Amino acid sequence: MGKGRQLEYRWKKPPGTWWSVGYLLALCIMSVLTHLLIDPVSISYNAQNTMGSTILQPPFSTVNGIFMWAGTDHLGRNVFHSLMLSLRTSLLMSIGGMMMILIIGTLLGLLSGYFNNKGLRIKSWTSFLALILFFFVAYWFVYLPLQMPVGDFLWPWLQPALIFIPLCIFFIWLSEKYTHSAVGFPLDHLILKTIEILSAFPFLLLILAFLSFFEPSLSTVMVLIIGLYWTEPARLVRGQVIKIRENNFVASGRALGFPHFRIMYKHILPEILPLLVIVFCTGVASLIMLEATLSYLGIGMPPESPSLGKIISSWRFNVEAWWLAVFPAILLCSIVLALKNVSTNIRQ
Amino acid sequence: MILRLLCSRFLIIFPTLGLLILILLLVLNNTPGIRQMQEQNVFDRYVDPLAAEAAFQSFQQRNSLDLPVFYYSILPAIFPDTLRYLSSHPDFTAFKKLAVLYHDRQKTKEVLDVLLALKLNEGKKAYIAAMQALEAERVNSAKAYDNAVISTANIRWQHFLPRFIWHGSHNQFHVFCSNLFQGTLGQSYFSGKPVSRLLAPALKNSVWLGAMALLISWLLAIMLAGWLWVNKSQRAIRLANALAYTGQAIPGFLLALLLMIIFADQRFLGWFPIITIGYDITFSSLVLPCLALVGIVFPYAFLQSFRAFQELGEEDYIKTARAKGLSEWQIWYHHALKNAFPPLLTIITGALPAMVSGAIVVEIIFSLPGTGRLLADAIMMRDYAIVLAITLVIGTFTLVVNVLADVGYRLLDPRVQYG
Repeated sequence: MGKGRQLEYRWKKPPGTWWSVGYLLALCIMSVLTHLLIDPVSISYNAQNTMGSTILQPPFSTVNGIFMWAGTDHLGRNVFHSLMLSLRTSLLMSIGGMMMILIIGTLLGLLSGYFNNKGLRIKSWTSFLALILFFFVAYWFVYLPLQMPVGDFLWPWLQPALIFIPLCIFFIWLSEKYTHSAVGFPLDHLILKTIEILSAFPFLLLILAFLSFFEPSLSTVMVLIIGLYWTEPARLVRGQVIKIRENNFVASGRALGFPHFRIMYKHILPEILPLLVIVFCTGVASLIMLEATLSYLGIGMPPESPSLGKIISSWRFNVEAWWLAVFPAILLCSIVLALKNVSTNIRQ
Repeated sequence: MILRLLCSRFLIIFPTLGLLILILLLVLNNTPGIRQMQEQNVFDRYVDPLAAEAAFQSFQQRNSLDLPVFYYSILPAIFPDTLRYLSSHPDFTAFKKLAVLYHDRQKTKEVLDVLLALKLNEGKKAYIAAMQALEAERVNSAKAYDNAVISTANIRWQHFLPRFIWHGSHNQFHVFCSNLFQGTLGQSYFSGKPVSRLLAPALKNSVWLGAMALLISWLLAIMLAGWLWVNKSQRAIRLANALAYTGQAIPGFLLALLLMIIFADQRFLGWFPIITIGYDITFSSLVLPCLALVGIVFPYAFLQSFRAFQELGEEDYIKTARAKGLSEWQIWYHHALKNAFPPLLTIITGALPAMVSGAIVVEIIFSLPGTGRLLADAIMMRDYAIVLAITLVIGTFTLVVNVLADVGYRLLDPRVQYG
């Protein structure tokens, strides 16, 4: 025991960062080149494929002269091709969605962390007029076109807007120039409360509840994910920005008279880049898992889109066909593990 | 002080839930296709269109779907407020175009009232005929409509101005909220049973599953981290961390599916029942779901507890305790755990929403009759009364737990200022 006390209670970083990066890059390239690598005809449901002799063939067997790396499924489709197509779907969805999430989250986190509650000072009259302008635009250009075919009578619809918006802008200009009383815009408070509330709800519950209202489609899922998941990057970026803001270079930048935008873009953004990479990797990992879960449950994802979750769910009723579970499971877990590996190593 | 804190934190729950209810109701009422599908469901069950129409009306009244969504609505001045009684989306669009053509709200309202009365008294067929006649009129005057000179000559900008229509307390939001305060959550669309009666047994099962998995996983995780802290065996630390790290990468549904196939399928071990029938669960049907949920939560729980103890480091009070001659277990229990627990508590409650998500998946896969499965079934059958109720109940639960954890943290750690 005396010797044991000298030992450390800590765990070093997991090994193999470059292996993970290389593996992920290879998968990305493969999924981009899917069209070149496989023949779309051979994976479609055609009569030849769905014949009894070709269904549920084990891996490394030859069916109709085609070598099956991963066997065939219960409809006689080549599992290897399904794997590649579903890899493309999940990477497309998770990386594309995470890009949008990262942009929104970083922007909101940066603004709320940088300006806090008092940094963004607005003239009282300007804020009042801007609110009116906002409501007008929201009603006239969003709600009205949803309610009626405004395109059929463009001119009477545009008339009030053409008068009202320049008038409003003119008054905003006046108030900026001639009024003095100003208030701090409670940006941080607003964004933080939104994050707190949104992250208190179980993510899957909200996704399932909202998905139940719409027809299954990839775009609905994407919009929901972007609308609900941006809180995670925003919270982390905000915390980091609050720390960075205390540094001298930000204060000296202000003293030199740099505009806020330039300080945020040129001085703070480079500092939080490593954090963004970490958030991106963990986010992509959880989105890949979410996509697989949704398509396994058969909720929200369109039935025709290939997915790892769907291949695994076909194993549920063909338990003897172990290749239907093992290959997609290994692919799914290894991608997630590699992504987590990269993010953990960057963090340390 | 605590009371004030509790009040100020609890108050945020009510507007949040109100907003959630409002958003869900708005989506439910404005998504094209939902009302048409509901109508189709009713009409499929009746031969007589008049009876079907009456049944649909009573279905809507029973679930207060015929009411406006909120206390007021905003419509362009050109539209009459009875517009929402039109059932299907194509009718809705056609009538809106007609309203634009008439560009007279009063006249549109009269036509619409006649149409709705026709629908109620003479059935769907007459309504469809009337709608077709209206459509024909619209097509006949298509020249007028399409000819921009004539149609826009009569359209003024005043027709687009917003009109606030006050509905009073007779609206879906008010009915839903007052039902909520009375403890009823509406009726299921399909079985007609009160949702609370369906939800209560499901909730009981879910709470059992969740509480057991939560206790087991976090207790095990903290105990394991404590054992490693006491022993400081490098090999065990490396092994446990590597396993937990890998375990985090396994999606919950995969773990649950594997457990089910291996332990419950008759072709393999077949030790446990593969599905649960009815609402009564036995111990043997709860073992596997609980195991799966523990498997989902445990890796995260272990990594977090390990990190919590790692961050304590070799503080002075630990060195002092060691100098006093306490055993390593005593030091861990009396000093390390007491200092590591308050931050761990926030991590535990912070991970609760993710655990609820995991529980939903596990319940669906093991078809355990809990809230998760009820939700999945409701989504499949498009029974929105149940979807709304479950979202609200689980949302309230997580919000309340969040507030309680915040207060509990301050109670456990007096160094944190009340504020």
